[in-house]
Amino acid sequence: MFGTLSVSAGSSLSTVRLSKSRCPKISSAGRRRAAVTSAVAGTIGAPTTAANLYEILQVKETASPVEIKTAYRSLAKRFHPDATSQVSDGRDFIQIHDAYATLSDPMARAQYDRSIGQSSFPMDSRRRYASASAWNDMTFRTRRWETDQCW
Amino acid sequence: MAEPVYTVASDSETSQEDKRMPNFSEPALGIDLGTSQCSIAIWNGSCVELLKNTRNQKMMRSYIMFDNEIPSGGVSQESVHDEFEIFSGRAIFNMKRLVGRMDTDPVVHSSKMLPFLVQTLGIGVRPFIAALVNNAWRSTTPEEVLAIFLVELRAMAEVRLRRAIRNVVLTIPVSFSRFQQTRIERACAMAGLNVLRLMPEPTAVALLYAQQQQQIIQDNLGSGYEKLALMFNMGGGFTDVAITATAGGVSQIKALSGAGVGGEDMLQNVMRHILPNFDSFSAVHGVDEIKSMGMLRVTTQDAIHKLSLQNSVSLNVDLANGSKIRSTMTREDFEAINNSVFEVCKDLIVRCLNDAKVDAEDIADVILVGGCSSIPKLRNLVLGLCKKGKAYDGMNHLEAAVCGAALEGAVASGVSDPSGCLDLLTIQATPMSLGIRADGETFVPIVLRNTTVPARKDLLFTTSQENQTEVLIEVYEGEGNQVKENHLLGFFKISGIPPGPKGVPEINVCMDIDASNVLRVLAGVVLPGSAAPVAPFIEVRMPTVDDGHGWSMEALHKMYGSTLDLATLKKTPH
Repeated sequence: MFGTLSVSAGSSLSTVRLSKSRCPKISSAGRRRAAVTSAVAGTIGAPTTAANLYEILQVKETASPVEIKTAYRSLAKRFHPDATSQVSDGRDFIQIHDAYATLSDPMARAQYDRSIGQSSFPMDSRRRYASASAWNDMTFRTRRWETDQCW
Repeated sequence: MAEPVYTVASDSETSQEDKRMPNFSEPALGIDLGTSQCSIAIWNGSCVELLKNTRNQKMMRSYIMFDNEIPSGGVSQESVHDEFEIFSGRAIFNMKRLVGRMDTDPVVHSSKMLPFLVQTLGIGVRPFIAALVNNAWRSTTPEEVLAIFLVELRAMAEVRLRRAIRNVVLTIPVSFSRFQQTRIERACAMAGLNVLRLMPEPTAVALLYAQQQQQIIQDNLGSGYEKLALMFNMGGGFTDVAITATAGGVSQIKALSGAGVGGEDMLQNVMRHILPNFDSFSAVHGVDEIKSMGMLRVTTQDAIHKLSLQNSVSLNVDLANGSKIRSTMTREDFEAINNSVFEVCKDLIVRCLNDAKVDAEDIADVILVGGCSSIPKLRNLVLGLCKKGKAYDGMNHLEAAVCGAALEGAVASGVSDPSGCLDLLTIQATPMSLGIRADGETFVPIVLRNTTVPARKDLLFTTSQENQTEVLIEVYEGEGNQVKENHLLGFFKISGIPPGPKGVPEINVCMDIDASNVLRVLAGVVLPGSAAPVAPFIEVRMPTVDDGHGWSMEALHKMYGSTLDLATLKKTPH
């Protein structure tokens, strides 16, 4: 199923947000590590502050590709470290780009839409327990791991 | 918190401090430090202005003349030195091609035919470079030559702007390794300059393009309408290609490719063609040979320039030993001689299009910049591959990169413009993959090339031996499948792994690139099923190696063999 991708791209939790500081401190590494283990164990869902990708880009789920691009660019202008001198509200640019990478690719977007779908998709019940489990990111990583962020 | 009473200045940390707190009141100076020419520009409050030297020149030749105790460069002395003096052995030039390269590098070897001394021992250390002063070879380094030149540029800008210059944005070739970038930063530090950004040349051009597009379509269309453009930049020493998606002043770099091939290679090919024993001739480095090489170089340069405008040119050179060269060269001859160079350019464009996942038909504008972009064969090649009839004509091909650097200098310094001219952003991408050594000699990429920065990615690895308690993280940059094909950036050891069967401990290696392109590698041990940290993670800013990369690898291998090796972790999906 995972093709030639023999390397597992581990700790993929969208819950861990990068702080605005340019220099990742050990404290963030600590948070990361906790996240890694829970993803590996795969038993409990991490505290779900994980926003829906559409919410991150501030668009509707029915947004057109052009609307998604427009939203990404206007958010980039506000949250890219080069564009802003003020501290953002925690919505880091990496997260914005991550959301854009998925939603701008029709295949990845369709897959994502299925994973957050209200019904009909059989895997849905699993997701409720582990919103950011290894299963979930594997689904995306099979196709999108180049542009996907591993956290 | 109390302020520290004193600070300890170290190479990396002081510049880091400055990066975080740039002087926001003034825009940073944009510098295009080319292999053969250079220029500086600044945002003057309403537009980008190229600064001129005392001789009213915007383009200054990149060389340093070692005449007396105080070397002087092309910024202040341009009209004083004629071509033959520059090629007399006293002047050092083309240092952008040599900076940060080892004496095993083919580019260093091809530089041996320059009319000054480049000595190599072929053991992976920096080459010995010297200028002929009073009939003795006086040593220097590429960093020193660049620093002297930067001091002149700085002095010129300070005179023109009547203020002190500290922050700069420099353009660099796409193919510059991170180690070469540190050498450029070193040269700037020697010249008292703080590097705010090192910008790949075509991305600077892309920023200028984004500004021009924003002014054109500001009212017509929303910012969701994006235009794809391909930038092709070929100068004296390097060729770069970039594809950017531009809309609403935001330039998103989709792909970058580059190689250390440029006008200098074409020049050498032509010189070799008209003087078949050129290589043995240039290896001698006697005073007569240097003089002859200088004359040959002047004539050949002139001929190549003429061939862009006319179909044939005659070459007449009187060498110092009395022999004469009388020959004619047609444009077809020139193109045949340099076929290998054009093939490299073609490959770079094809790779860039593939990496950006765009079809040539979708490219709206093709922008040709750099000194070599007027060569007809090159123009046809690039336009043909992009299926375009004509190139974008909205910018000066020699000034585009420095103008882009000046725009970035204003944007990165936090200068704002009421009319919205500086409402710009470049979203950069990594030109080369970054990864570590694992599974023997395999290079395992963690950040793939053309990943949007800032970026943060990680991968899990494991031990390769039973009861292994330490692993060595060797960080490389490049595209080769084997580590030896790539550049070593640095290495560090992770200790305190609890003894156990191989393949069980999980070692997390994370790479973080921030907006100013600083790379940090974080690594540590994770135990499956445990949330408690085994030991503090180690965070290392790369690159850490100085020169002699090959030596470090050999020494490590000799000392440790495979005892500290990593393996990729093959995980079963849940």
